[in-house]
Amino acid sequence: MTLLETQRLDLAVGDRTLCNGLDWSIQQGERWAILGTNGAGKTTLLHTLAGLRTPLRGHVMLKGEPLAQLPRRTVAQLIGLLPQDSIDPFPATVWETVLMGRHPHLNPWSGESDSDIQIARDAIARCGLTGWEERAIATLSGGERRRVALATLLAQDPALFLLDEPTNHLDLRHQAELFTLMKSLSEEGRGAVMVLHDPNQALRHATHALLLYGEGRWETGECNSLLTEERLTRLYDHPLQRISGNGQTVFIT
Amino acid sequence: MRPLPMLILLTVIALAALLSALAFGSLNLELGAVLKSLAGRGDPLTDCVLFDLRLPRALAAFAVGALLALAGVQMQVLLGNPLAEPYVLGVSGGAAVGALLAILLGVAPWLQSSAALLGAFGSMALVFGLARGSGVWSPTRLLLTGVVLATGWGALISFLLAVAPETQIRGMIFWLMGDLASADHPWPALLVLVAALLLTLPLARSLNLLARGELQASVLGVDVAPLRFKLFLIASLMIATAVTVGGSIAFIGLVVPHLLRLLGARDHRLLLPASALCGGALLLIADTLARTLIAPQQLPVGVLTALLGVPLFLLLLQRSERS
Repeated sequence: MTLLETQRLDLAVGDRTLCNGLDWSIQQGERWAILGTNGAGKTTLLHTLAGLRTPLRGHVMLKGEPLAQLPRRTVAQLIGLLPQDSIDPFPATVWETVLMGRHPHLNPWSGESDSDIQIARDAIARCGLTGWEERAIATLSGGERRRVALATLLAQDPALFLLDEPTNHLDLRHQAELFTLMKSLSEEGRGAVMVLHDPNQALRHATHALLLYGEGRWETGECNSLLTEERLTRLYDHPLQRISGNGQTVFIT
Repeated sequence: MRPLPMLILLTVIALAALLSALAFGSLNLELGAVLKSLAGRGDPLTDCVLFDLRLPRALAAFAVGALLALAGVQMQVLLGNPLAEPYVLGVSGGAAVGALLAILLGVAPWLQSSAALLGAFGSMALVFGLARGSGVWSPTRLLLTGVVLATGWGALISFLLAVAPETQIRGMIFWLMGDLASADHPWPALLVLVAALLLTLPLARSLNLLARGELQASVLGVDVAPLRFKLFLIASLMIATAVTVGGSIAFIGLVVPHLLRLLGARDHRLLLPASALCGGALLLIADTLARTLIAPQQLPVGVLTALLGVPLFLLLLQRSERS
């Protein structure tokens, strides 16, 4: 089933065109990687998919309805976003932060129910943060904060996960765990779109990829067929070499 | 501290502060006599001191303190800045210019209040109109506009003080430092306080999110622009009311929210009511001291809020860093 669809989407920042006439659909169970150079519009596209920006032209459709016309709360029940960075000007604990993820599922006057508490606990456990509930966010490292943000996203329990450079600040083990988690979530029928900087991560952990070449050109397809030496060299404007062996393929610069 | 014990403790402190405000003054009353009067069985002299003088002023002090603390929380979230306080956007500056002009012209006290209110609303409309500009409405733009406007009001205030005759300067300075001596009509402030609490409590969880930035709040389903507009309106109304009743009372709006956060009230569902109680109690205590410390002379209460609040806050900050 289609989770999210873009129809003839044009994106621009200032007078710079980022993408022209993007027709794209994300199905349940798919994991997409967005690849492109700095400033190609990856984050702008991700924020447009989440309904945080209005596109220059075209539409984003969420489960068949125009995203722009849906209430923010409805959108937040279905789409979650892991931003590149999080800010914490005021003190908060890990538990308070993760519990915020339940917000779109609650009415203004109601508090969190037992099931909301349980969902937040499970999210904390899945990100390996059990026992850290009462720690202040300000005392955590960058990678630890990233895992708290991910736990908040899991507590939100959306159908579509939008992840902006999800591996930022994470050590190798937690990067691997993140991708395993996304794989199992997609097998439950959810979708994921991840902005990545490493085509090898895309090849290994995504099913599909969207390449943003800048100046509006784009390409979509399955990772196995789309990610070729020639395309990636063009995408990054830098020579890449493909090496295969032992049933694995890697790109090196 | 857990939510319920904290609210209960703050309520007890507020009630104790209210009782002491009623008992102490240039004429000290027995607690028993105060309670008797409140129950409707007091002697005429106590009744007179209590119901005509002390109770209206005590209630006004509580309401103003609560309004300032509540507005402080909202301003900090609205501007995404822990250093924000009720006066940062120039509402109190506008009120001060209105009030000082009225004092200078020697008009009746009720007209002074009206002038202060007019100045507050004028300033609020000006900040909002200018910050909105081309339709983009960011906290940074709001903050910059407000700060610049507040500086402008400050210059006007200095000008008014410079041209005022000696005899009026004392009254003007008391107004600027915050003074509850003429606060004898508590009901408008109490009414605004109740209305503001009822309007903001359903927004408390959204405030938790907005405190984590616009992006995080929108991602989790908060309509940020309407929420900010509501916050701005409610906070401005509260500040205008507080300043009209008590002048620019310092410190409560900045420090009470942080004080409570240090005590563990980070969730706005607790922080909002706790701030109202704590701000009200703190101003009530400060005002009682202002009336009694060098009685029969009265001090401007704004001096005492800072003298009380600064050490209290620094002590808590020290303790929280150690733990």
